[in-house]
Amino acid sequence: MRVLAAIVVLLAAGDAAAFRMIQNTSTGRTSVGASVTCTATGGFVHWDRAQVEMRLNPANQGGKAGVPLALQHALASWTAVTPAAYTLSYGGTTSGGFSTDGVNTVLWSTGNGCTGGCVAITALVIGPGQVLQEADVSFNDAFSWNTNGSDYDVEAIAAHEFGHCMGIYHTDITKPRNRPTMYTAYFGVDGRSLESDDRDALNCAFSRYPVAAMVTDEAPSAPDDPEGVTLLSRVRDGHATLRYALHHPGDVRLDVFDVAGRRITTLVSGTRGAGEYEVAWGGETRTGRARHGVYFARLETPEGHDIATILLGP
Amino acid sequence: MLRRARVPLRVEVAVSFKRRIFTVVLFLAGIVSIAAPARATSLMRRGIESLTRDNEAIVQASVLDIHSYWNASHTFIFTDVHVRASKQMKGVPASELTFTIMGGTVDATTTLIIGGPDLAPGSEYVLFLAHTDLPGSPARLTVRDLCQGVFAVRHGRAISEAAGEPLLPDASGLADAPGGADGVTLETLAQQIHDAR
Repeated sequence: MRVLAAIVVLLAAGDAAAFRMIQNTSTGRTSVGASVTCTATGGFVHWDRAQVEMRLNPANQGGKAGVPLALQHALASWTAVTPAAYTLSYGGTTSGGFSTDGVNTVLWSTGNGCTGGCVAITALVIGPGQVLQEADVSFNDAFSWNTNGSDYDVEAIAAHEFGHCMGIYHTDITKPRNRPTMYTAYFGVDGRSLESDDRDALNCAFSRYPVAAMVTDEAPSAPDDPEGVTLLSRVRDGHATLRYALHHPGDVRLDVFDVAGRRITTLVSGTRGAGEYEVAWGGETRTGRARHGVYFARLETPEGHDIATILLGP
Repeated sequence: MLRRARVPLRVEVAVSFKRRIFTVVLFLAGIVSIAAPARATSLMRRGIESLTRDNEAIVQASVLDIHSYWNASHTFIFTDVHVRASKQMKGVPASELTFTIMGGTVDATTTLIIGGPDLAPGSEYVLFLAHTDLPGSPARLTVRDLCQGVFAVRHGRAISEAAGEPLLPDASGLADAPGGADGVTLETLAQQIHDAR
């Protein structure tokens, strides 16, 4: 009976923890890592900081209009996982590539070793102690990519690859419904939303390798595209300040979206002259006050568009 | 005589049964806790026909050694894999060749490719190779189809490294790696490759 009980316990343990993490085992063989449990001896790859910023190389299909927002939604899905306190943010555009350059880059390419049947590929750069130093994602530009829900869906695949970027391997779950985002194969737009197994995986990483809680008071970063338009977000005392500059007069629209992509308020809509602008937002929406959490401000001007992440706190 | 004979016999059977159960428990524990290779990313299924058509060289080969290094611009770690071919199935007149794959370990830094080929010195594989662009290094001979381009050779069978994990269905709706978890005999794989050429 004790033997049978041991079998039941072992099987139950395997079922309860279906997610898997990536372990760096590259000693004496090529580097693909191993799929391990949360409590595995030897641990797994992980970040040693809470903030992970991804940037987009807008070349090829990365330049499609909806791509930045789709990536931000995918990042926000992981940021929203609690009690894990990671902040996956969108850092704007970069000219960086699928290379070890200190920038976590998302790009579209027909090279980078992702050809033929490869839809997207992730490269992890790992330092001593299995600490992640960089994560790059290359989408195969030979496929047709979309942000309107048709295949192949940028947000769904990005959410999956960003999971890899956080050290999460494919889940062992193979059920046909409510598949986790880290299910081993693409299954359409349902992959956009995380399931409990995905959240458990990130919480596993956070509990085994605790990092400092996220910073809610962000300092504006320098513009990375002096020729285009840049939207900067600063949050202080629960209020966001959004800054942008126009080189020429033109129509401006500044909207705020929640993580589900719903527009919750419009802060600017009309013609503005050349100059620098600051817009305050305290969380007011058309239907009341927004809850604490992650939001996105999208600026559209004749000079270009940009998106800033807002971490609205108490 | 019969009693004496039966008593030790029952004990032996009981011990044997317990050992078998213990072995089963150890096996199940192994299934639950073993560190299995992480072998896939977002990949569309490739059949033998497309693998053969889209690759220049197919060999059954043993890995002699591997060597990892930074590329010339120090922007990516590559690994050169030196193999000795025991059977050429397509292209490759040389008995020894070297190809390059992304990722590897140099000093304290590892670049890990989720879904890359898992190759160990001393082991034997069937490899599907082609020239393609790698980061910062154009037209390198490599395993272009990542884990789908490698079949581990074990006991006369070839087992795809993509086996055991569903892939994106191909045009015919198939989502399992060719041969599945059991693989196919080397003779069958060689015949399939020959038919597809």
